Formats: sequence, C-alpha cells, structure tokens
Amino acid sequence: MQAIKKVSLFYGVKLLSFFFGLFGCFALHQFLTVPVVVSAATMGLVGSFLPTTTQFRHHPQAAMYAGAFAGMCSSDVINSPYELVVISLIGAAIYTLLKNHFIGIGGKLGAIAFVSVASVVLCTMVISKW
Amino acid sequence: MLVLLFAILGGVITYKLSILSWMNAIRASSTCTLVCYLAIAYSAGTETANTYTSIFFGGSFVGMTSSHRLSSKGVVAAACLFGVISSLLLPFLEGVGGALGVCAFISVSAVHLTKMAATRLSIKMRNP
Repeated sequence: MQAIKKVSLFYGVKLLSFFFGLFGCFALHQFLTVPVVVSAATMGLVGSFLPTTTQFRHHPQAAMYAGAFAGMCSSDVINSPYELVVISLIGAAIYTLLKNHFIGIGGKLGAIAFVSVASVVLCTMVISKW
Repeated sequence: MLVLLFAILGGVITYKLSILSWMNAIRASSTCTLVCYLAIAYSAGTETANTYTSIFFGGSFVGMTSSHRLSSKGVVAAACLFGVISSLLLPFLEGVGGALGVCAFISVSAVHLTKMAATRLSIKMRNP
C-alpha cells in the first residue's frame, strides 16, 4: 500500500512537470512564434531551477525537459488540448516506468517524448480511419 | 560537414559543462543551446540559426550522457554518429517532438554498446 502511494505521488509530480514543460513549449512556439528550439531550451532552463527534494531528486526538472521536447511538435501533429493531456499522461507513465533504467544515457528524455507523441499520433490515425 | 561540427560542439560543450557542480546536465544543455542560437542569429540570421541550432540542440542531448557511461572521446564519437543518423532520420520525422532525442539516444546507445563489447572482448583475449 505504501509502495503504491509512493509511485502514485511520483507519477503525479512527473505528470504535472511533464505537462507544464509540454504546454509551455507548445504555447511559446505556436502562440508567441518563438523558434521551436529556443522554446524547448527556455522551458528546460526554467525547469532546471525547480527546487529539488530528497524524495524526487532531479526528476521533476528532467520530466519538464522531456515535456518540452514533446512540445516541439507542430500544430499539424497536435490538434487539440486533449492530445496535450494524453501525451502528458503517457509520457509521465513511461518516465515512471523507466525511472531506474537507462540512467546516464543521453537522449533518454527525448526518446520518452518521442514515444509518447508517436503513440498518440498512431492512436489518432487508427481512430480516424476506423 | 557543418552539421557534424555543430553536433560535436553541442555534445562536447554540454558534457564539459554538466560536470561543473553548479551546472547540471539539463541546465548545461539548455543554456548552451540558447547561447548558440543567439550567436548564430546575430552573425548569420535567424534562418541559419534555426537550422544549425537544432543540430546543436541534438548534440547537446548526446552531451547529457553521464561521465561513467562515456568518456569525452565517446561523446565525440556519439555526436558524429548523431550527425549521420539525424540527417537520415529527421526528414521522415518532421514536426514530431522528440525526434532529435531519439536520434541522440540511438547514437549514444550504439557507442556505449560498442564500448562494452570491446571491453569484454579485450578481457577475453587477455584471459583466454
């Protein structure tokens, strides 16, 4: 019971951080026409100043940066705010599952972002054809 | 050639900066990218800055690799591989978030696996 509560709390924090990074990056380049790379890097820099705790360590910062990578999508790929939420849910879940895997391997956050975006895009394509 | 150069620069600068105590890998990657964008945009215009900063950004993901996984030579090799993989894959993944990260992950994993295989092979050859 304690372990489930711990994982749920971890997932919740990751979800919030991921969504904040995703929405922030997407809003910067879609609504304020900031270049995509600058939007993602800005969200990453802002996220790097999030306070670290002994319980979550650097994970909220990393989740926010991963969210910013996912937010680099063009408006052709993300069509509705619901998709942003679903991408965040999937991204935070993958992040939580891979918490103790691929530690210190560069590109892990980007790969998490890509898998979450790609899964939503594939599901949307399948549903629209169905 | 410039693509490889920017990928290597992104990787090495981020790798070196991320070792500093006050600068973690995330801050190093994002700060380097913003500085790179400003420098290129000032000297060559925003169009060129958008193109080359995205490669630099991808290279900086490679540089986020921990020092116990890859040495600086390994980061250079992974950044070179990233330059090649990204020029092959990115045209198919345009507009999809995380594409640069996937290319970086593939290149770092490939170099890390090669390094591990070479280490095991050399141990076996020493102790047959």
